Amino acid sequence: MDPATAELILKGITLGAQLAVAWGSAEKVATLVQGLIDKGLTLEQINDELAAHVEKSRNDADRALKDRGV
Amino acid sequence: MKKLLTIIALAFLPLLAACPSVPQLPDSKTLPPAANLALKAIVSANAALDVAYDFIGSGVRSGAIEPTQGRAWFNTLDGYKAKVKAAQDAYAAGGFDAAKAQAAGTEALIKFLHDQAIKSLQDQARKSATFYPREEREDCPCVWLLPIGA
Repeated sequence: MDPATAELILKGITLGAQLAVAWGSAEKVATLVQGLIDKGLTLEQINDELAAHVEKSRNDADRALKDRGV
Repeated sequence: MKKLLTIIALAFLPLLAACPSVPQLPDSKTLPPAANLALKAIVSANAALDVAYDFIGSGVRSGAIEPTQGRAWFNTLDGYKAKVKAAQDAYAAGGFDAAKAQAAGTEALIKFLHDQAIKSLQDQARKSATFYPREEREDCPCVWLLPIGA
């Protein structure tokens, strides 16, 4: 395999990984909400749980950004 | 080789096709219909916020998102988070229609930002995948990766 082709394949895999990051997070929240529904929580309780999760995700993202100096 | 590249590009398409949406929320038996709708809109907006923050966090960690760009998206999201909070305050005060409108409008903005962030990553990957000197490209017996999800 010539180097240009090998690099192109690698870039294709990178693109796929980037998209997986995007859809992976969507899947995570869908699983979370479905789990809350399955537990039989009321809408208010589901919202409270989800709001707490938003705070967690926000803090997590903030930490990741600060770790990289921004 | 052409076949292999096409397979790699297509292998990721199911990820897009199978993109899960937020599950169907059950109706509350104790809430009046307007409150039910408003609360569902707020839940949905919170779910979108969660996805978007998570996307930034994991994207920055994996190196897929450039940190300065990530911080800009993060700050915009914080503005949307305040709007969702305003919707929750309106809900708590009994303004169900206002709460629903505010939450649904904000959810649309959050999804738009998320879509733009994904598109930006796709464009970035596409640019780097096509950065070859012309003479090398002419010799390359392969196809360029299709823009996935475009």
